[in-house]
Amino acid sequence: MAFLTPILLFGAAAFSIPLVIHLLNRRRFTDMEWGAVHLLETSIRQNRRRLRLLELLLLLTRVAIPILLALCLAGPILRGLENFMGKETSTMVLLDDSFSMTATDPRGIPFNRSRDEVGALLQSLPRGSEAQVVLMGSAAPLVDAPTSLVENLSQELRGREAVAGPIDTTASIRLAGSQFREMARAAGEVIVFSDFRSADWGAAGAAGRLEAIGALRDESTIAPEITLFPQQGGAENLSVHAVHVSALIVGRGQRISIRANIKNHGRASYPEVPVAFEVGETTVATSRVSLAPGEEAQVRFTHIFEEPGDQRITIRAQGDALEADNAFHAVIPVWEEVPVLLVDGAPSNRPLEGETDFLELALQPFNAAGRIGLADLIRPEVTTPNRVRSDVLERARVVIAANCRNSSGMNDLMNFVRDGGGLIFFPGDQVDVKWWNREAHGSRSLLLPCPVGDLRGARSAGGGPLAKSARILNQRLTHPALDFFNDPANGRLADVEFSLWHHLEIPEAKGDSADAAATVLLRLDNGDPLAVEHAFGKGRVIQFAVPADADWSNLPTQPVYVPLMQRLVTYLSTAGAPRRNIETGESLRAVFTEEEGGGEEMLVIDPAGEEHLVAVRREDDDRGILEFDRTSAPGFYRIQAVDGSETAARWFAANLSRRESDLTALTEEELESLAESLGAQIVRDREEYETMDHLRRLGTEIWRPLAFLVLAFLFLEMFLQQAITGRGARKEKVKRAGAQG
Amino acid sequence: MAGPTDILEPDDLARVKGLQFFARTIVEGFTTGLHASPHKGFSVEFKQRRPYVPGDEIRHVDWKVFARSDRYYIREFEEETNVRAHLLLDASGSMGYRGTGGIEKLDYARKTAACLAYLLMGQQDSVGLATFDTQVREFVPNRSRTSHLAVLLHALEMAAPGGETALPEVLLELVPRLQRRGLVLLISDCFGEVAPFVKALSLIRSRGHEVIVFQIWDRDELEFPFQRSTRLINLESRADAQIVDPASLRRSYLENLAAYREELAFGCRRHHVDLVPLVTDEPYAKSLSRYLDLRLRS
Repeated sequence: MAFLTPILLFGAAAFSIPLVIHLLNRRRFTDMEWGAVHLLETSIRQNRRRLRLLELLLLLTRVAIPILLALCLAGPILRGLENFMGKETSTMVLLDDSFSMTATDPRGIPFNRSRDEVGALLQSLPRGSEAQVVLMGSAAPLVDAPTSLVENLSQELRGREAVAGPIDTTASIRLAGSQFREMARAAGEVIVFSDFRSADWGAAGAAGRLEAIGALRDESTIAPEITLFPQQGGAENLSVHAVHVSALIVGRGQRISIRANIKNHGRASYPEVPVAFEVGETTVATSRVSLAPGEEAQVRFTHIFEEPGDQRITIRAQGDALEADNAFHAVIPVWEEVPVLLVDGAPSNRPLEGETDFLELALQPFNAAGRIGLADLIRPEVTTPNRVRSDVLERARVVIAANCRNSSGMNDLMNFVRDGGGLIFFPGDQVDVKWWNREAHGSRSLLLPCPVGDLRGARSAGGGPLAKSARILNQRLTHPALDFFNDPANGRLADVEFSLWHHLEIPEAKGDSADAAATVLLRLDNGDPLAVEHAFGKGRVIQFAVPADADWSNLPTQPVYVPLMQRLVTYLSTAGAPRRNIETGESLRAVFTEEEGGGEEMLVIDPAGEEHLVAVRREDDDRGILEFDRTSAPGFYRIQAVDGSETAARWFAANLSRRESDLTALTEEELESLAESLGAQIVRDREEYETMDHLRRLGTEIWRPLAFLVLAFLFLEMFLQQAITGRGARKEKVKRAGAQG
Repeated sequence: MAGPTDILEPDDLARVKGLQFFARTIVEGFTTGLHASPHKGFSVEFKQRRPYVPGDEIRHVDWKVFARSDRYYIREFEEETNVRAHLLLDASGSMGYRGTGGIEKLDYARKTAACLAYLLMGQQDSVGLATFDTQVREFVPNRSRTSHLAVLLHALEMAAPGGETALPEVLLELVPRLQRRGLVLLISDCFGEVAPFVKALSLIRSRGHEVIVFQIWDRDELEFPFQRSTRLINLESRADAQIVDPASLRRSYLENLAAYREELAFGCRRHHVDLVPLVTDEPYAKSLSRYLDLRLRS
């Protein structure tokens, strides 16, 4: 028990007043000679004990009233956490440093406000307290371990900016929990500074959060008090939401189209927003777009890259307060060409009757159409199965085996894929199923993801509509080669009809072998897989259930055939190469071949121009691998040799996750519900926090129940008085009237 | 016609010295304008004649009328009651209570007795007096001559509050001394146990006496209005004193009082004893009025 104004406790001395009056009244009496003693004797005898008790109660009540009143006025506080007051605390701050915290409003930048609040809070901790700050966006603690040198934390925090991607609330709480377990002061506190956006704190991650917070409470030495500190900023935002490049890799001199999605996340209209297309540091085109509230618009640019190598492009919209998502960066590798070997199992002299005729057209459309000025990236070369040998394979990056009965160069083909090449397998009427199943998916090897199964469907009769056909299942595609087709403008896979197909039985994964893990890329609407992919050595294999020509389906005659084949081939040609476009916070990975060298260490230059010296790890095959994970800033990262030579130089682009662009915060009800589920309290500003903290340290004010108690005692006093002195004036009068008679 | 009691309050009258003067003032003031006694009897004042019937005393025959008319007529006169009244005055300690009104109960009782004596003596009744506490202190036998009043009043003046009351015992002691049947006027607060008291009254009644009990109350005794802590000293036994909180006792006191009065009234009714409560702040004439009312009824 503590008191806000303990001086008023002296008022309790007023209890002596009724006590003294009572005692004096006992000593002060008047003498009276009385005759009718016989009328009193029984009363005195009967009431003596009861009256003594009632008088004692009355005395106690009268004494208690001033004491309770003084207690009430002194502002009593019940201490729930005795150890909290003035004691050292373990304070864990979860600071949201995702870039949505930079959404400026008239009060400034929320992150800066939060940073200052955290700094002030750390400074106000009792001496000897220990603290740690977990940056939620960066998913990292501010310093390596919790420290009692809170000044260091404040120092570290001073230069921080909110440039991280979306926060993973569950992971952040887990990280905070693991750090909190190392802290062992008498009282614990976890304070969350965030803008509490729906995307981060919505119902989606609720279960994980609850589990993490439960673990934090259960596994810590002391269950911490949890406080949510909402730091909301502006709600208006315009973002370059996504950028799509029409090809996974681009050939020199090839015209590519770049589509940028510009989205208005707020409720304000943005008329005539300028959108710039930059290549390197140069703006090469500008467009304008008008956006109504909540609207998303597309801007399209075309460009021809004249030089091979990594090309940096940026789409930049101008005109809103949240800068971080106004630019989208991408690195596009520009290649001279992609050599592809088409193995035709059923060649024909007649046009479009050879097994690979459609493929050849699809992979080299501009060349086939005789268009001048448009370059095809892919250079196909057609051969027959019996010519597949290592010397031929050496010239190709991808091999497409179409309707091959068998292959004399099976071993060479396997080595080709194992070394990083790509293979697409199409079945057909010439295929020796038993041979392929034995040689390519059986005891000899596991080159194909799954065995070629029995035939399903029905052949069409007389060219009429198929009695029993199947289509590609319309679903959202996540594979990097196919996500392009999620936009119907890029081709409609669902239009393709299949009359016959091989059943592909996906084998169960065998142990940890990566080779055995098969992924279904496309599925028919009856559930049968259409295309299955798996890794084989350093390369990848895609197995289709239908041939590459128009015998069993209308796939080659559909518009989607060209982009589908192009993307599959370019995907396979780059499958072994690490991604050049990442989200901020993801690890950046570069692989150097033996020829490229790379040395023991390489330089990584971040978007701010700062150089980081990073060690290169050597694999058994002399490939060098560099990994760099300090990619919290969006922009271009350059990897180069320490001596500055260009041979091993690479560009990478890091973009902030666009999930952060939607600034919609939790509603008040949702926030309260969140606080309730986490067992947390919400505070809006420092003053409110200090009040709450004060109460929490000291306890709960209990003057109200005391005030009620005083009231109750006053009633009790009246009641006792009545009980002792009789039943009031009315009855007295009645008695008096009776006495008169 | 207004009398002195209509003008003077009991307090004023109390200041008047001399019981005789007091009694005369009260009684004459009270009786002025009253009609003569409706009771007819054989006295000095002629009222009418009526025919003789066997059994009438010969000496009441009007011989002059017989001489004239040769018939026997009896002469009737205004009644000459010649009541033997016994005034019994309680002078016990409890009668010494002087309430907030300032009038001592014994003083009030003494004056009431004086008034009654004066009234009775004025009607040629013979009046006797006994004052007592635990025992009979003064006993004045019945006389009807006028000079007897002075004796009575002197005895009354001499009465002073004494010790404890032993009312039943005293009454039983007095019974043999009230030789001829008459009127017993007991002036007392009647404090004490009711049953023995009522029994004593019944014994008096059995001897053929009419009994009127003037019960003297102080207003304080009826209302018990005290609030402050008080040490009650028993008037009848000074050693008996206890500190009480009167406010807390009031309710039960009043209940006890009501029960006591009820019991007493019931006992008196049962034995045809007239109980007349008198409060010391009431006019003295009230006792006379009640007395005459009762006499008329009888």
